[in-house]
Amino acid sequence: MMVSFTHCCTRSDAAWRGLAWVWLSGLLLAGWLVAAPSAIAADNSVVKKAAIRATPQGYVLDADVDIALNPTLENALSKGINLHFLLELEVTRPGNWYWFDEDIAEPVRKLRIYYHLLLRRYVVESGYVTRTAETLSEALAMLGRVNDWQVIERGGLKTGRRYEARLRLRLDKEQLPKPLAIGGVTSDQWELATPWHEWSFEAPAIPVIPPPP
Amino acid sequence: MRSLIAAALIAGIVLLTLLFYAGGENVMFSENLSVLFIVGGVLGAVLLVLLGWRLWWLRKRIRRGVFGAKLTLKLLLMFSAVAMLPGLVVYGASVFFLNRSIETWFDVRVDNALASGVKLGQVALDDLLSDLNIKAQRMAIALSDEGMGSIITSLSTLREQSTVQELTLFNERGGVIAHVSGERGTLLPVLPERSVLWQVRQQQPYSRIEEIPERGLIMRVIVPVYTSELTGETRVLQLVQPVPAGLERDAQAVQLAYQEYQQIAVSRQGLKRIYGVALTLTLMLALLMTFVIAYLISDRLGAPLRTLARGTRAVAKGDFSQMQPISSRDELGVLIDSFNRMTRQLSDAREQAAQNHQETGQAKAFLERVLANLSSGVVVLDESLNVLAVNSAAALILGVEPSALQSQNLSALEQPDEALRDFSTRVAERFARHEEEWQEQIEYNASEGRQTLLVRGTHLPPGMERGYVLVFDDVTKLINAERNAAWSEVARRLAHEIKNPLTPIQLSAERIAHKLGGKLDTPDAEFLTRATQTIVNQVAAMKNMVDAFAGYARMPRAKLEALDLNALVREVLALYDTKSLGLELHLDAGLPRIAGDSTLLRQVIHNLLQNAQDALSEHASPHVEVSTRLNTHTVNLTVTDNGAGFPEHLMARLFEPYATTKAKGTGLGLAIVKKIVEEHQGKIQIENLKSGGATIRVALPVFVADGEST
Repeated sequence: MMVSFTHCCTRSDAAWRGLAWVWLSGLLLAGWLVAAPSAIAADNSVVKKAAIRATPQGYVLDADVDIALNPTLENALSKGINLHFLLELEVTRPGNWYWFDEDIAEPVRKLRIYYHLLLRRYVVESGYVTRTAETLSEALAMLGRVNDWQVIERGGLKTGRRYEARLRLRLDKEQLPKPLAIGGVTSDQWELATPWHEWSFEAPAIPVIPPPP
Repeated sequence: MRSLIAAALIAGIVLLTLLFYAGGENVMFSENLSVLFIVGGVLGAVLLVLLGWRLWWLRKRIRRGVFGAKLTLKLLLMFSAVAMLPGLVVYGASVFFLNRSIETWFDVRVDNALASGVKLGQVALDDLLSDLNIKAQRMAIALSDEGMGSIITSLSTLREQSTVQELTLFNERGGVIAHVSGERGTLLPVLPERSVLWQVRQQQPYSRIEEIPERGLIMRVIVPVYTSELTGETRVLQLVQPVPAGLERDAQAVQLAYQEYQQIAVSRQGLKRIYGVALTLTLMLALLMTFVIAYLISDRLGAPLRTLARGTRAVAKGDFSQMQPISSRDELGVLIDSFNRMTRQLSDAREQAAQNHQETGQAKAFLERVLANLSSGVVVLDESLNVLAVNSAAALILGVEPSALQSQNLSALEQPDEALRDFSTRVAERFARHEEEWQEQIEYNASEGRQTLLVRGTHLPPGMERGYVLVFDDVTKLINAERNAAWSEVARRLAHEIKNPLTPIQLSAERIAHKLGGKLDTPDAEFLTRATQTIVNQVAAMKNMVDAFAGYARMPRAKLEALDLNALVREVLALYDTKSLGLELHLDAGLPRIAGDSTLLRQVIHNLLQNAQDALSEHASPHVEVSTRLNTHTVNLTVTDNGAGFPEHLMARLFEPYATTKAKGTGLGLAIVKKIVEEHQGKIQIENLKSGGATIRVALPVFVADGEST
């Protein structure tokens, strides 16, 4: 009697344990699906310098971004796949203790780089300008150099006031081939983003337009 | 709970449908595939939590021993196993074939072919470019010494000879010297960059294929044109020739195909992963939904059993009123129906039993009431003579408490008064003889006097409990009444028969004395006188005696009225010589009035005192004590003397006429006393004292205001 009782108990316990295992594994799977891995891989791309200048037309950004492609991206590039980048700038006026920061401008510039197989040259599109480069490093340098990017209209900033700006460059994953573009499923090999480069500046005075010679 | 499960199931089905759409080439859904995945994951988690909650609940129920919970678990496990097996097999097969089919898209040969196609285009373009280079070299030489005047002509000639679309000659600073172009050429030349010009001047010719938005692929070669003059500047010649349209189109197509192929190749891992996740999600959702449905079905299957269990519990508690609803038409429904019928029958049976019980109880109560109101004593005994039941009359007759008899063995009745033991011993003896029925008159010496009991013993009829029934009546009064009646009759007859001849005897004796008185001489005359006198006296005495008997026989009925006993006692005692009797009075001052006839009671007191006087006639120091005392409902009159007492052999018949110890006297004294006392509903008791002498105790009832004496 006792033996059979124990036996029955262990059997039912085992069944329960099995059920619990199935349940737990299901829970883990669901958790993995829900919590999409969004960790950005640490790469060596970085904004080296950035500055906002005043021109008679308004404020322009000059920046130099060091872009380092990981092997996956480099390989993709060499096979003619287009890589799109977004250069994102955010200019804010810092608020005081009782008010939020005020967003001034959030311009975004679209960049593209690809390897033209027939030309056997790297093509860099930045704004409306298309340039080619023989080597990848040249092309990346070209891509990372930004000159005279008009970011704020005349009068968008008050001269002498202090503003904060931050800048970053990141791979536009929306433009990747569809299966790669689906977040949470692809690996983080298809990621590239510089950390935010933050700096604060005093709005420079707009120079007077020199009279035409 | 139900609605939650239903909502989860519907959401799951919608999600799976969307997932299937997204799996196709529908762009709108593929945009939101990741959202779908996340929603699917969340739904899966919700289902899991739901299932876990149900399982935990089920486990709790099993722990608690709820009926049917184990069955639910078993069914759930079975259903789950049945659902899981095909699901997992199909899932495995799907994943396998998916991977295989995706891999088959990518073939090394296709890869190579496309790469070769691209290379082919590159080689073709290189060839064209080198051709153009050679032409450029030749032209540069041809133009080296051309003067400014003829340069346009020479350029045109050269262009036509070499079929180059555009020819442009720049000076050292990049200024255009001449520009000629064919039909499709542009009017404005493509200006080379400053760095290119500088590079070319350093004798490094520029030759490159370029893509210009409006013109497509063009070949561009820039070469220096040297002059022989020492002072002459180095000019620069630019040749622009578009790539042949057919070649460009094909090359571009190959490039595009290669690009797209590479795109897909790069993303195949992602594709596999997406399809894998979609499949896994589908499987998980399907399985979870199956589990949940399995749980619902199991629960539903177990419901009739729970219903039955509930019913059984109710019946066990004695609640027959619950009818279980029949929810299904299958065997379980039939079972519940049968159960309901059984419950109804049980209920009817129990009602019947209760009714029978009530009837029996009523019958028993009726019987008990009858027994209680019976004047005969009834005692029921079992086989070993243990008392089973006693009615109140029995206890009353025997003068004991009913509890003293209840559940006692008859032979073991060790009552303090031996009368009961004698009685029970006698009864036990009679029962021991195994007679079917017996009857006997037994003397019972109760504390209140000797009683005569007429006892009948019977065996209980067979078919019931074996035992005996003892029925007895107190027939003392009946016997006494009979005896009294007999004595009255004797006294009346005697008086009549004796009185009649007495008068003639007396008259005759007086006539003899009268007739012979004068004729006889003195001695004879004296003798005659003495003799006749004796006759007359004796006759007179006899007459008195006869009158006394007649009086006894024709005792007048007592007229009961309120009476002060103490006053009556004092009145009677005044007639006696207190000193010579040694009379002592102890009268209770707070005595209530009694119900009595003063004439008759006066005779009682006379007779009692007469008795005492007679007993003490020859005593040296006579002593008589008369006392009255209140008992609970009676007043006691006690007369005690210190005479010789009554002889033992007479004790039983003291109250009968002629029971006397005296030489003279009728022996009617105590008989009359007894008769009068009985007329008063009282009691009389005679007792010999151990110290010598006797006590006669008379108890008379207290007068009750409305005239009803008890």
